[in-house]
Amino acid sequence: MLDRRGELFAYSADGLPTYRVHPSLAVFPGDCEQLIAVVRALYEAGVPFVPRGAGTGLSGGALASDDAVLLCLNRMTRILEIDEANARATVEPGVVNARLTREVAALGLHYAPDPSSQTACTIGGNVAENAGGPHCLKYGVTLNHVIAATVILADGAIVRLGNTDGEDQGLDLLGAFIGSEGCFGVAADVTVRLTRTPRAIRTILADFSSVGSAAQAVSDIIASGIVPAALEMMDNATIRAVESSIYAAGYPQDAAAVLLAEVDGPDEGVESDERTIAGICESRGARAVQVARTEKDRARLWQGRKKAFGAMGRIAPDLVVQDAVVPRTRLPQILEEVHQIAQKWDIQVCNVFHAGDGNLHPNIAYDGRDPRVVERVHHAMREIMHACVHAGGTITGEHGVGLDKLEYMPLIFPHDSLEAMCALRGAFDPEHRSNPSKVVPVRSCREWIGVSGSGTRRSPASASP
Amino acid sequence: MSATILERAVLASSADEVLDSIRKARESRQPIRIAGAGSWLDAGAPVNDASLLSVSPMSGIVEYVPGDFTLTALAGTTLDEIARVTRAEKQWLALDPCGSAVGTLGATIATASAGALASGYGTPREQVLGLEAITGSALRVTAGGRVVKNVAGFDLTRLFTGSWGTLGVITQVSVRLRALPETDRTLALSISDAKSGLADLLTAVRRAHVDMAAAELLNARAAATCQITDREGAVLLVRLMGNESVTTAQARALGALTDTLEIDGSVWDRLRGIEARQAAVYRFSRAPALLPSLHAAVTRALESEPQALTHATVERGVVRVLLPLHHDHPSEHAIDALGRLDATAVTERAPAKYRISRRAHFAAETPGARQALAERVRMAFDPDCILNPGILAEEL
Repeated sequence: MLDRRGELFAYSADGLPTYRVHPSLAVFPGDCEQLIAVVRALYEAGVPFVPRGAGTGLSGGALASDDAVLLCLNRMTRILEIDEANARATVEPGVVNARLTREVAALGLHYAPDPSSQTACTIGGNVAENAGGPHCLKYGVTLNHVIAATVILADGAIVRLGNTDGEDQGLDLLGAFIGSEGCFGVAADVTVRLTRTPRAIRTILADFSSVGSAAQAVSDIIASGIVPAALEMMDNATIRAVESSIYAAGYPQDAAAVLLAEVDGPDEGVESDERTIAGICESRGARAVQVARTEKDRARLWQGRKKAFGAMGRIAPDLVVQDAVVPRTRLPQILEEVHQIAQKWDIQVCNVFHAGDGNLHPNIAYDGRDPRVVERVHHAMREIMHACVHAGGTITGEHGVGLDKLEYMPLIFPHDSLEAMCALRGAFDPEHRSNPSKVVPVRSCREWIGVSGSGTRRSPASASP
Repeated sequence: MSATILERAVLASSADEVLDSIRKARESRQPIRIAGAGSWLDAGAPVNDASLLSVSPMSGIVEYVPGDFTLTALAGTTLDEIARVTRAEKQWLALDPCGSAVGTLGATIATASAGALASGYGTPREQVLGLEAITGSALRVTAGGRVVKNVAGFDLTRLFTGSWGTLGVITQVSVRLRALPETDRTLALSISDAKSGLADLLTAVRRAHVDMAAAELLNARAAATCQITDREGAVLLVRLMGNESVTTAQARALGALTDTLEIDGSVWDRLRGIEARQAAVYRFSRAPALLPSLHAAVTRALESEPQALTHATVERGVVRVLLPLHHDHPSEHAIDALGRLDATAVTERAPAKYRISRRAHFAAETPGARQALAERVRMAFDPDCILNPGILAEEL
């Protein structure tokens, strides 16, 4: 347990530097028994809690105000079982994503959802956010890879969601729990599906002299029927940030945009897909197309993409990153709009994103010490979000709503939908003890109005920067 | 729609009319049985004393953007119609639930019905991007969206999928599509009924990295009903979909493992339509690696019933059993034996006293906690218990 302000400082933020909320207490259960005991003790005491994995989240979801306890799962790091015959593993929530893949690599298996933070983020956190990553284009998101979970509800009851011994029956409570951002309870263990590592993998880097032509190439690749394992795009601002950092990957610094495409599967299919993609890129004016066939070359090409977020730190002291999704066919239009919005508000936007599924990550690096800059950044972010929603998209593809996107929820969900979400949360956690102030704006929850003593909560306004 | 449905059902042509029906049902405390085309009305546990509400008039494509591989349709749209529209763009929705293709999209999603293709392409749960529904609490809910990645808010899409109409009436669904593959081949492999034959073959197939779009193990009777000739005994039907070069290599790899025979792809439609009107239908499942021994156990349990049809989705660990009804009831001996199987058991449809249900027991679970949670969820969305009450009898 940590209760001294100095020690708790590291736990006052997650991956987003813009929100800082100081918890008064952080508890670190070491195993399932301790976790259950802690949850039950908190329930008896009437104290809400905020579950937290590695704190790499990008929506301010793992922040606890001083009337809630931070419940940290990062000490529960055991891999409980690896079931090779069924290609599954059961893990405690604090197991790091990349570590799981490492542990099963010798069996020719890996854990497919690969968020960029995978060397630090935990499976428990991945489940809470329904994490994605570049390879979810082909392999699906966390939802598609979780078979069962043992969940501790806020009142301390233990429920088994999903089924490892056959089909799941009845209501898909597991599906509802995944992506519930810690608001429905805490997973004490998770059984995940492991994926057979493909025979052949090719990574292709194509550079373009315009963002528009790169976006067109993306559309063409998808329309060809190929399902790439990954299809990522980075714009010039991102390339330059990456290439001037320690993560330099050899991307051409004068390219308007680069596409990083990956195909995998049986040898025959991969050869054919590689040729098709290279051909498409060339027909859309790619200046050069590189193909990496060895593990080493592939890792080099990927390094730049995986560390892009980290490279932003060189540009300016503060960073916000959005996570909106647009239909793929609207990508060229949206990228143009983002460019115009950036110019209008005189801010720098670095676009690095999952082009294959239309999941944008506009990164805005800025100096947070200047309030006028901060205001311009907020305006720009709001306009970008509105543009994406207007194009038929959604407000978050991977990072979750947390605190960060609470204000945008009414943009995509009518009041009845938000009320339905509150009702669902109320069924899992009638007394609002588990991560109470996240995901759904308080004013949308009928039952919150006039809530009395038990289950205290803080309005999200007190947590904003 | 059958004439019976036409006579009995209230037909809703819009979400407003659905909302109206729900409001009336709440006021009069008269439960509703929800239907699409009405082809699956005897599925699930019986819903008694309910009036019938059908959304089959709510049919039609709302939005189809081939470039995005996404399609939104009203709930009453048939799967056949969706197949027709998407085929014109060389795309398809990879869902082939058992039963005919006049089943509606709404019903398929509400029951999360999966067929052979769930093996390679996932169940309805993996293919739905969003939906609209009217809850039993008269809320008009928009869940998810039309884009392929979406984590905004709590996952009402997953909650409604497979909820069997107990939370709300689905009025519209957005699904993800795939490109029609260049080649689509079907091979029939002979399998001796001995457990080790199947287990060894499946292990070898996995090691050979053969990705099968579908792999269904049919018992001799099912194979005969699907008009598969030239094969004796149980047959493993394998579907290979993809590029020409890939499927050729895969077929070759399978051919090296066992005797294969290429057959026409129409067998999959025959398999989908296999169920006789007069049958009790069950699904038994375990973890996929245990499928060979589960299949052997099911075969033994059905020794007294030679007319029984079985087909197993081997990669998902599911064995589906169609037990013929003689004078409205199945063989007691067979029911008894099936009821004692150590497996997760679900009844798709059966006369009330022949329903079999079994859920894996999890020792650490707080007794009754899961049922209490499911009940709270249901009450949150249908506080007056008017939507398909009782249909998920075993669950609650």
